[in-house]
Amino acid sequence: MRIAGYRPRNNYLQRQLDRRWRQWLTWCAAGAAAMAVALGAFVGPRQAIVRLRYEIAQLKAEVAALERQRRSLQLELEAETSPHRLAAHARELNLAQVPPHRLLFLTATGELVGPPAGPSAPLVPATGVH
Amino acid sequence: MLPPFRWGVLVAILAGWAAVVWLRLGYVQLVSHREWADAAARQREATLEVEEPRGDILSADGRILAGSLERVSVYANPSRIPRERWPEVAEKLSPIIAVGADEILRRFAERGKFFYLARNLDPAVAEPIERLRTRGLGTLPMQRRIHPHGPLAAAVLGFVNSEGVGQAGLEKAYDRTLAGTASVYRLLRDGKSIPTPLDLRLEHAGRPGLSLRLTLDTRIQAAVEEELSVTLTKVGARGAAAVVMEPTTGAVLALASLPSYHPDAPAASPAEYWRNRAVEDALEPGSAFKPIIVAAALAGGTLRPFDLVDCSGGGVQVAGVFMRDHASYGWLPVRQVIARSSNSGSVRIAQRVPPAVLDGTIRAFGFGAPTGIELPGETRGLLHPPERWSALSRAGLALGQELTVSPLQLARAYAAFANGGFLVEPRLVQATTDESGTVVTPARVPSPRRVLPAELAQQITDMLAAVVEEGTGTRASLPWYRTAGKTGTAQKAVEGVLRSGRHVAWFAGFLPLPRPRAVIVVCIDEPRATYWASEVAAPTFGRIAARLVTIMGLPPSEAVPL
Repeated sequence: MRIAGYRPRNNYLQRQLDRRWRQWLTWCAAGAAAMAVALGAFVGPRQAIVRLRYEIAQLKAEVAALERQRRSLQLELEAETSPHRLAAHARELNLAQVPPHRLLFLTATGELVGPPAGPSAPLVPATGVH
Repeated sequence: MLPPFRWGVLVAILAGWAAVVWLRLGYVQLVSHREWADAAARQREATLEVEEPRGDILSADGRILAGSLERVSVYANPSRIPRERWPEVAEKLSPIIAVGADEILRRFAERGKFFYLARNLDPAVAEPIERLRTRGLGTLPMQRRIHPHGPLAAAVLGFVNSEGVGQAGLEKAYDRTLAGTASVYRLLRDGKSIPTPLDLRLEHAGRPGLSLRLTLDTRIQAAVEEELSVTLTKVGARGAAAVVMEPTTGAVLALASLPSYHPDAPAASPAEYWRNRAVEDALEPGSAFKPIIVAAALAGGTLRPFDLVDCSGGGVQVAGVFMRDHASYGWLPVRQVIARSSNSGSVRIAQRVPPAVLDGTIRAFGFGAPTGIELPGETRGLLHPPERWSALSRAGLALGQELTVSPLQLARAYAAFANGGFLVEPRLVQATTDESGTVVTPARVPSPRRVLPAELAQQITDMLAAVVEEGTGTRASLPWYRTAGKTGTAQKAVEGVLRSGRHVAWFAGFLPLPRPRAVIVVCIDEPRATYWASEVAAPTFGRIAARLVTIMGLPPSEAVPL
């Protein structure tokens, strides 16, 4: 016969300590270590890549800034050496316009030619005509 | 120990919960994966649209006439910034954009909604502004168009508006070629949700704008503008234009229009200055048109080069109207009719040519139609068909009065005399190139069309040389360089009526003979001090020619071995 709720009073029995938790803990620790190694192996290189990418991005930004600076200087150089600017500062720069009669030319046959010595044919200035 | 029933209930609940989790997981992973992936990407990624730079406009000698610089604009929308944060934001923003905090606050209060706080700043200011993490405050990339040579060739180059869209000149005509297409990048946001350039990925590759390499030479252009400006100031003219063109290729070496403007700030000049007079203005050519009439008569066989023409009487009567000449020259050979620019001689020559032949020759020389140069707003000039001509029309045309032409059209016609009778198509663009300078599209060079037999072109050239050597154009001469050309002083027609006080002075010519390398046309609009072409346009031509031969290194016609 079974009596519901009856519990035998067996306090006299010395129950053995359950030491299986240690094994469980060992497995857990081993699992955690394995997980850490696996994650480390995965995340480590990834972190290195991210770091490298960041450095690349910084370098790219620097290159872009330098490129902008180069471009700005190039345009400034254009402005400083424009024919108008040079003409305006011709005297300071010791520049002079070369008149056509002071030019000499080297022909394809290696001959040096130029305008004939002496004045060119006299011309009468025309006035008040179409 | 739980009774089996309770275990069963517990397991069923757990299994049900697991099933719900797995189902949801399956739904998320399989069905709505894209949606969640996009949401995640939106959270950690930002899209960046980078405007690719607008192409340069380069001269034939490799100078940058127009170029772009990357800049940023700082915008603010005060309505989206809490009012209590305004002083703090202004304080932090002030050193970045170099505008006083008080000024920023004043503008916040004044503008209220979206406005540009600062424009044209170095792109380096973008990051510190992003780091302020203020809603209603940010930067937008922009391109600043720069013209390092200032107003040089402004009428040819044109300008762009604040959005970087071409509004005039080549900037307008080649807007689609010069403008690049934007690239789209994806980049990660950092822990504070601020976009960083880390892991920048190109999502859509844009295309930088192509550059234009022109036929213009900056040295020639500058020389032409300088000499034209001297004349403009000296004679107090309303405007002036000049064209320098290679007669065999149609390559335009200089195209000047004065008064001009600075294309970096076009709004600072009246809109009238934006016009390219060399291409857009149609004016009466006056006597500079006489060689075309003579060419028509010679080509049509109604005149021979050594015929004598009646230039007596001090003028000629046509349809009841007496057309005066400068003097009574008697009978002159054709060469002298041109050299002395005799009105009566030209009218008598024109009267011999049938209207259809005259009209055909004038049109064959390209008058009455645009030249096809790569610039917007080109005029076709005014040239009535023969059926609309009056009894006076041929005489009017002989004096260059019943039609209008642009300086470029006249340069093209004179190029036909200089190159042995071929009509060339003027062109400004040599090629379009990419960033590395590699030619993407070479310019289309149409085959020139013969409009005059070579011997006739030579005969006309000899007549034009006489103009410079002994006729009305002696002031255009250049020692040791044989030059051919023709003066033209025309009365301007205003609303169909010729006005005596308003003139146009022309000189069209080419040098050095016998193998001309450049055609030069000078047009002075409404000179005040004196209006005769021989005193206004011819000397300007001479000065331009003197500068040109030095720059181009043209040997003199009379070169002798040393």
